[in-house]
Amino acid sequence: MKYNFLLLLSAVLLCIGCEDKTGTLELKFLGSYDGAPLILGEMVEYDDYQLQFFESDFYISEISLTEGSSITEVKDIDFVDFTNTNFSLEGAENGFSLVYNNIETGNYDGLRFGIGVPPVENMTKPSDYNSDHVLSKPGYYWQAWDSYIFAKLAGKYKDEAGTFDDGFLFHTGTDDLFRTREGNFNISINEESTTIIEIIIDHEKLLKLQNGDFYDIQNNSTNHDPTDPVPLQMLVNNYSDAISFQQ
Amino acid sequence: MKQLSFLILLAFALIACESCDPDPISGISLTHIEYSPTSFDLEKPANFPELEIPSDNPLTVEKIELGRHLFYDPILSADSTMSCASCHLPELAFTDNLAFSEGIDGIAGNRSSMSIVNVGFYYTGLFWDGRSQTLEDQAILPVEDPIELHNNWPELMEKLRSSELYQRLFREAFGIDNTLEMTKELAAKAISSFERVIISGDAKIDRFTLNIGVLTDEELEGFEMFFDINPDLPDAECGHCHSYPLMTTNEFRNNGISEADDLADFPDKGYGTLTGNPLDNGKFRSPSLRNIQLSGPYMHDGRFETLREVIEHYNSGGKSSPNKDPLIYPLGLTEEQKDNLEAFLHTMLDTSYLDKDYITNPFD
Ligand code: HEC
Ligand code: HEC
Repeated sequence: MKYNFLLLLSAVLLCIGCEDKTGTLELKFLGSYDGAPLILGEMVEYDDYQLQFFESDFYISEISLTEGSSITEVKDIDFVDFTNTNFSLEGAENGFSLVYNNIETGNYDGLRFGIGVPPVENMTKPSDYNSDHVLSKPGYYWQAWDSYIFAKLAGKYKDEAGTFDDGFLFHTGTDDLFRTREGNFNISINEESTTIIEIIIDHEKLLKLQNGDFYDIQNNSTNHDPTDPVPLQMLVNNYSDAISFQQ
Repeated sequence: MKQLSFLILLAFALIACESCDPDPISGISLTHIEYSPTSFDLEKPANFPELEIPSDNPLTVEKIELGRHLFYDPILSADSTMSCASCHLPELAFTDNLAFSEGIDGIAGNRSSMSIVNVGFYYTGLFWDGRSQTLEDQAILPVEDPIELHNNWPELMEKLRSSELYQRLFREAFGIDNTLEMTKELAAKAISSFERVIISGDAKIDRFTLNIGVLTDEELEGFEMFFDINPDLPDAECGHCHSYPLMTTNEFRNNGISEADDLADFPDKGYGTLTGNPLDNGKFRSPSLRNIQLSGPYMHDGRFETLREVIEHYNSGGKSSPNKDPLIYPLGLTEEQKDNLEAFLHTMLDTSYLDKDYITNPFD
C-alpha cells in the first residue's frame, strides 16, 4: 500500500517536472518595394516605367525551427496574404503576422520554410478540405496543372498611352517549382513570451532577373505556363532571394 | 331549429378557434404531437467538398420539411402575396428573371436575385458583397427588408403560432413543447436546412469530369479555353474565378463591368462597403455558373440579357477602372470560339434535383 503511494507520488512529481515549457513565435511578413513599405494600389518605379501592385500572396509550408540537425516543426502549411494589410502605410508597416503558440522553449539556430505547397499535399485538391483549412481555397488550385497555385503576384503597369489599363499576373505552381528558404541566425523561444521574426519580402527583387536586370513585364504580363523558364522559374527562385530576416 | 344549429355551429367555431389561436401569454401545448427527428441522408455529388453543417443545426428530414414550407409560403410577406420563392424560383435555378428583384411594395432593389443552388457550400460570405456570414443569419433578413417581404417577425411569428400546420411542423422539427417556443431563430434554422439540401451536381460537365460522359467537340473546345488547357487556343481565364466543382471560387473580384476613374467612383461599391478597404470597391462575389443558362439577366445589376453578351464583355477586356482584375483583358476570341465557350456554359445545366420531393413546392 505504502509502496503504491510512493509510486503515485513520484509519478506526479515526474509529470510536473517534465511538463513542456512553451513560448510563442510570431512571423511578421513585411512587403516592401525598393526599401519602402509596399502599398497596394500605389505607384512604384520599375525600369523606366511604373507599376502598381494589387495582389501578393503565397502558401508557406513545413515551417520549422532548426538546431543543428534537429528540426522542430512549427506548422505544416499556412498562407501569407498582403491584401488586407498593405492597402495603407500603417497596415504595410504592421505587416501580416502568423502567430504560433506552444513552441518548445530553447535556443534554435535557424528558421526554415517552403514557398508553395509540398508535393504530398499538392496531390490533394481544395474540395478535400474543410473551409477553415488554407488548402480549401478553390481560387488557388489550377486544374490544368494538377497543382495548387503557390503564389500570386498581380498588378498593373503604365502602358505607352500613359494609363494603368493593363495588368500583369504571375501565378506559380507545380512540384518542380516548390522552393525552400532557410535563415540561419539565433532564435530563442522563451516561456510565456513572444519571439518576433520579421520576414521582409522585397517585391522589386521578386520581379528582377537573376542577373539583376529588369524583366519585360509589359510584353510578358500574364504568362502562367509552369514549363516556361521565364518568368515563373525566375519568380520562384526570386522568392528565396527576395526574402530577408530581421529580429 | 335553425337557431339552434346556428348556435351549435358558433360554439364549434369558437372551440376550433380557441385551439388554433394560442393565448399569447400561455401559448398552447404541443406535446400531443409526436417528436421523433430523422437525420437526413445527404446525397453529395462525388466531386463536391464536404457540406459543412453548423453543430447546433444538424440536418433532419423534419427541419427541411418545415424550411421548405416557410420558403414557399406567402405567409412570410406582410400582405401574403410573396414568398422567398417569388424571387428564387426553382425553375430559374432559384433566381428570378429580373435585373432588380421587386418586393411586395413594387419597389425594386439595386441588386439582382442570386441563385441559392449549392449555397450550403459557400463560406466566404453570402450576397453579392459577402455581408452575411451564415445561412442562419441571412434567412432572418428578407422578412423585414422593406424592398423584399416587408413584414415584421413578431407579427409573422403570431401568424405561424396560430397555424395548425406550423404548430405541427415546428413541433416535429424542434421538439418544442409550446407554441411560445416557436421563434424566428428556429424558423431561420429550418429555412437554412432546406437551403442546404438544394444541391445540383449532376450536369454534363460532372459526368464528363467523372469519366462517365463525354462532351461534343464544340463543348470540349469551350472547356479547354475556359480552363486555359490548350496552348493552341486562346486562354479565356474563366476558370480562375469560376472553378470546378462549384463553378465559383466565391472570391470577390472586379470583373470589369463598371467604368470608374478612381476607386471612389463605383456606382455600387460592393465588397468595399463591407471591408472598408478602398481596393475592394467595385468587387463582387464571383457567382457559380451552374445552371447559368436559366438565371439571366446576368451580373449583380442584371446588365446583360444573354450569355452571349457576357462572353462579348469578357472578350472585350471590360471597362477600365483602377482595380479591374488583371485576368480581364481582350481575349481575341473568334465567333466560333465564342460559340464554343457558350456551348460549354450549357454543360453546367442540371435540373434533376428539382424533382426531389424535399425540394418541390409543398403548396402546389
Ligand atoms: C424581393 C425578392 C427577394 C425575396 C422575397 C427574397 N430574396 Fe433572397 N435574394 C434576393 C436578392 C436581390 C439577393 C441578392 C441581394 C444582394 O446581394 O444584395 C438575394 C440573395 C439571397 C441569398 C444569398 C445567396 C448567395 O449565394 O449569397 C440567399 C441565401 C437568399 N437570398 C435566400 C432568401 C430567403 C431564404 C428568402 C425568404 C426568407 C429570400 N431570399 C427572399 C431577392 C429576394
Ligand atoms: C477575375 C475573375 C473573373 C474571371 C476571369 C471571369 N469571371 Fe465571370 N464573374 C466574375 C465576377 C466577380 C462576377 C460577378 C460580377 C458582378 O456581378 O459584379 C462574374 C459574373 C459572371 C457571370 C454572370 C453570373 C450571374 O449569375 O449573373 C457569368 C455568366 C460569367 N461571369 C461567366 C464568365 C466567363 C464565361 C468567363 C471567361 C470568359 C468569366 N466569367 C471570367 C469574375 C470573373
